[in-house]
Amino acid sequence: MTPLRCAHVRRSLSPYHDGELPRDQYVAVHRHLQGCESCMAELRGLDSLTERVRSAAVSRAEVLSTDLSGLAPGVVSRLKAEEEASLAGRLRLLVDDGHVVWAALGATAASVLCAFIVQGILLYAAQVRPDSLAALLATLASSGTNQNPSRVGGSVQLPRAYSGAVMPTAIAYQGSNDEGVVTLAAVVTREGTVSNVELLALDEGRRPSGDAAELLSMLDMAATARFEPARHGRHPVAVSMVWLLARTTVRGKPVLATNLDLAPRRRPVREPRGTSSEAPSPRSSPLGAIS
Amino acid sequence: VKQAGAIGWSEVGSREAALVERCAVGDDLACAELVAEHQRMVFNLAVHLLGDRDEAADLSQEVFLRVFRTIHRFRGQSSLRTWIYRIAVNQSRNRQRWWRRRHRSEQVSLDEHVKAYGELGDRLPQAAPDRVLANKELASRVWKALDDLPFEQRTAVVLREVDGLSYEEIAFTLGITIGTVKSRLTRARQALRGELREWSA
Repeated sequence: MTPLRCAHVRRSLSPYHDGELPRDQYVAVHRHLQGCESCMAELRGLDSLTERVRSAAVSRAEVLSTDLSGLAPGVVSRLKAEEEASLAGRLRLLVDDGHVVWAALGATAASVLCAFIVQGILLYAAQVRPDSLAALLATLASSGTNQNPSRVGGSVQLPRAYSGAVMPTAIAYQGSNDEGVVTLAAVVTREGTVSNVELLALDEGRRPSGDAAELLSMLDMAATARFEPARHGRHPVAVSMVWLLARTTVRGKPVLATNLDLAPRRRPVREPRGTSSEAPSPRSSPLGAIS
Repeated sequence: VKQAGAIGWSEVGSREAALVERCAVGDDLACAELVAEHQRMVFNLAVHLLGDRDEAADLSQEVFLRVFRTIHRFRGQSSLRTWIYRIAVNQSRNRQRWWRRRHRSEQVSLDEHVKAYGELGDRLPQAAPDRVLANKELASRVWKALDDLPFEQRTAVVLREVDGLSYEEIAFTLGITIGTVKSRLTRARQALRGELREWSA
């Protein structure tokens, strides 16, 4: 037996002692031990150690025989307690725990308070100065704005032609001498300008002899007119109106020939009036019908 | 060749499987039965690893609570006994770290206590006093030597020598390979023998 062989056996002695060596190694070590006293002594040392450890364990018999009958009930009751704590127990805890209730009440009170504060801020913000942007926006949003012309009521002063008003000098059919009435719909804005001019209808029974281009140019001319804006109280408001343009031809007489301005020129004069369906006056006179 | 206590991997009996099944659905009777069946083994291991009766009793309860919390994960990958051993060793490892840190200075081992104040319960030994005294002396030396080992080596020795687990079972219990079990046991035995031989001489 070589020392190397012994060293190899020594490494296997512990599992040999425990019976954990594979069969072939077990047999080899066993054979070696038959003829090697020192390795055998080593094995006996392991046996003796096992013996000592086991007897040391036995020496604790007094402790090891401690009554454990309370362990199982203790474990089961703790398991139950845990299970309860995990499900309904937690819910009950929420209600039982005063802190949570106070926290919930506090949160509710804070929410209500916040709602009141927001409401108050909104109310306060509504009382704005008349020259502020908010007031301007509010006025614009109400009826009577250019975008939202008001309907004419009793207290609305109608738009009028005034001294500073600009009237186009010629709204006319160039190609026809026929008399007639042209009905326009338009908006007189707060600034007195005319916008959204539409040709509503031609006078019943009379066909316009002018062509479409002339009509359009007439509409363009009408759109350049300026009025004194309609007023509601002291504030200018925008109103929709129907504008009747009546054209009459005044035949000139020799007596009047001295006044060249009154020569037989077709010159409609516009004055929107507050009533509709007013009969055309003998003079050339536009009739405003405010709707 | 295997020790009598060794149980193979696939030998989890149908009775055990049924017991585990009942425990998993929260059957109190089954849980109590499982505890009663394994409590002695868990408590003894805890006593040997921690060296304190109250600690061991406390740890035993923790071990079984852990067993029932995780029993739905037990799929018969080992015997139930080995699986419980594994949990017990893990809990002991954690407890021992905490315990050592907290009570390093004031810790008195069970055997020192017994040596100083006599056997717990004050039961007088029946055998010849000298022999009993010598045995006690030897036992306390053995435990002292075991306590000086690292936890992993001490656990391997206890599982092998006291509980008689096979290498395979020790490997599963400690979460290591069988080769590591072999080398760990060899080293632990060398250290123990060195320690005890020193004392004998």
